[in-house]
Amino acid sequence: MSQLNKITILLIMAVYSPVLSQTLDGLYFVFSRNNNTYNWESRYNRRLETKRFSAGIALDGYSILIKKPGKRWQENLTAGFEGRYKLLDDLHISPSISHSRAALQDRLIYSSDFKISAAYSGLGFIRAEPFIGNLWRKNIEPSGERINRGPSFGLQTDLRKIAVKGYPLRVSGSYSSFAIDKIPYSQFRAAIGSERIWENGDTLQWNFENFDGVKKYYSGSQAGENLVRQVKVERGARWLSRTAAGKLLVIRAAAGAVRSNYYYDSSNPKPLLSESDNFSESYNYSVQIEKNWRNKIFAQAAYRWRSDKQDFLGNLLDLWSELGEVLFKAGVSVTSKDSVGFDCVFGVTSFYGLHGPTINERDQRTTIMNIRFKRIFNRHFWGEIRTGYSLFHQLYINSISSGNNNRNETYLLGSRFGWNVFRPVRLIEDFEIQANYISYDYDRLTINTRNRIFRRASWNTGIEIRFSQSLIIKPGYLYRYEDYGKLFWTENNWQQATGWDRRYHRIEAKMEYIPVPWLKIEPQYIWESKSDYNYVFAPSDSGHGDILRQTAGRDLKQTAALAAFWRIDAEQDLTVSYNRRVWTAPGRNREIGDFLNVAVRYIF
Amino acid sequence: MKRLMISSVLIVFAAGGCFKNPVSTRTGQPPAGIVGTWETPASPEAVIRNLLFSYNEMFIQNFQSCLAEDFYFSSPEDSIRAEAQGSGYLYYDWGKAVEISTAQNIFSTFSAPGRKLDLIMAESFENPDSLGDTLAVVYRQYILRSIVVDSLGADTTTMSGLATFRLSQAMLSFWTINSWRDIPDRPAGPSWGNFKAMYRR
Repeated sequence: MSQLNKITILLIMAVYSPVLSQTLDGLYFVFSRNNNTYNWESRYNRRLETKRFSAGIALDGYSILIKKPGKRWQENLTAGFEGRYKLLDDLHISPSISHSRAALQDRLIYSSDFKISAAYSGLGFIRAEPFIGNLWRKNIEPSGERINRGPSFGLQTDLRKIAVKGYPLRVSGSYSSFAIDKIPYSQFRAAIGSERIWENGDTLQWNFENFDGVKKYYSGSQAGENLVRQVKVERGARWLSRTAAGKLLVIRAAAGAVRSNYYYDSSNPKPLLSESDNFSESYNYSVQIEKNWRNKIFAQAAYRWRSDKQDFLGNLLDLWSELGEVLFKAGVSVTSKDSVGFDCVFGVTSFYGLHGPTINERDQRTTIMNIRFKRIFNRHFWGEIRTGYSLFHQLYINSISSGNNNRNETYLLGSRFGWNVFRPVRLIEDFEIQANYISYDYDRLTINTRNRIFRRASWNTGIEIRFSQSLIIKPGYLYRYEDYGKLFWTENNWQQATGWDRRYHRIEAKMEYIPVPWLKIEPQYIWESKSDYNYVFAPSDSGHGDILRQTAGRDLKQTAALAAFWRIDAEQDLTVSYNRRVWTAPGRNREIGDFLNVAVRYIF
Repeated sequence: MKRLMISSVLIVFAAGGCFKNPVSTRTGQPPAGIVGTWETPASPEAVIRNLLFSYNEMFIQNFQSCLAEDFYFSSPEDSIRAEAQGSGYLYYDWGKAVEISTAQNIFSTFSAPGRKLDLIMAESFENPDSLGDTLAVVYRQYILRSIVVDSLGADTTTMSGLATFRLSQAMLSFWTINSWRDIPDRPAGPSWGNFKAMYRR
């Protein structure tokens, strides 16, 4: 097939299909269909480089059509160009243009942006880049259309190659203004920082940042539209270090602080809550110590503190919180074949009313522990066992809310074993049981209790049979059991009353077949069965009553899938996949779902 | 230089001076009042029954357990009328926190001697409930009666209308009310929404 024919095919497919998400120069299309929803995505990227000039073009398209219950069409198209021309050694001119069209049914938004900047670095250690531009937006709606446009200008400056006593400094500042008709805004940013890394890996980083922004906008409210002027002031600082103390010990420390203020000037005589002056601030630091003995023993301990405050000036939501958390982590290679890992986290977050006691004051306690043990029995057989426990305890302080104090605990035990039965056959076995208890501190009711338990167990067997380099078959089986019910507190102990249980079986077989190096075919079949049972109380002749287990539902799903990956050459490939699922359940119509996906990639 | 870095670590400790015990929690107050009638909110109807009982028993804990975090209350007709009278702000930004504080105010007011609150809710025949797997819309015709008895006699106000509740259920979680809309039976007539607005704090 000639190169021209290949491109022709790709372009024809573009009409029917088109996703892209890569920045390599090329042409990408993806088409997918899922029952009544159709998606088209396309991208075209191209960069040009010459000695004095570089430029990039990007075209994006994304369309969705939902056919049922009613036809709904959404479409986004964007085209952009960015260039950079070297006028003199110290002077570069950079124009950029972008245009987009976003449509949802009969509503449309067109936008066009233009900007040109000149970067000048002939002032010694100062680099300056002023810009001018224009923004244009047009909204078309059934009720009419409106246009919003205006010029923009600004300046970006950086200090380059500055160092103080061996510490390189980064200093930058920028101002930009967008004088758009309806929503004018302007921004000022300034930052100073430094980063130094020593030969042994020791590191020191710090920076301060400032942001000031002003904008005007119309605020929709039940009282109609009001003109609001918003001023945002944000200041922040960050600090980070890594220090090797001796040969084995490493200390890491970090700290940060940030404060944001919002000020409003509203034409509304009774401003909304969202138009009230407010601020938030946050402080944090962490210290971590770690030690490694000959890669046999690894230990780490850390402490983290954080405080957050938000003030909407008198609102009930105004809170401040404080977190304290410790973390321990350790790993030991007992022998060359046995290893043990352990980690745990203890922490408390406290929420306080900012203007005095509130009903939302609470503590949240977190405890998480995990232990893993792994053993390699021989080169054909290995296994891993893991256990875990987590606790989230919520404690409201005020008597109004403390009835909701509750503990959410989860216990977990799992294992994984791998066995190379013989050369072409590998087996992986996974087993896991999990129990989740949610109990309310003050709820010891026997009937209308909120205490509950959820349990789950699963067994998963995966087999890989490699007949040859070009033919692999992967059968598998998964069984899962779940039950859910209330927890009763009787005779100073918890008792479980199962409300429902569910059994799930999944059998699947997948084949990977590579008949020729440029083609891979993957057929797959999945059979799934799910049964639900409810537990109901039925009075009996003895007067005590019986618990009956009744079938609540039984689903059967069968999925057949076929995927093909065609690698035309190193720059071009085509992927096609199709799934068909048939879902049957008593009392409902047979449901058939189709999913088709076509993806084409052409890299220049 | 290393000394500087280590000392800067110490400075963080010192300057921070901020430490929170990672295992110690405060002791909360025991729940106030009676436990109240509570049914596991495993269905949208159960949530509405819990709401009804919590109102009649004036038990704020059960009332707030009926509401989702993103709860929103609206009373379109009352708020338009209030807007014209210059008190539209009473209905602005009515989320969960406002709903709880309002209910708390009502409950504490009507817990006083000589005051009584009665709520009756019935299914709306004209608006059948719409119940899905994880979303539901429930319509309830309500009559709310407030009685205030003092030395001058008994003052009874009867409010009636249609309350529309939108509910949702998270995975393995209970149903909660995401929004509540109130429409009075008679335009400008006494309604639950109008009654609540009077007690908004």
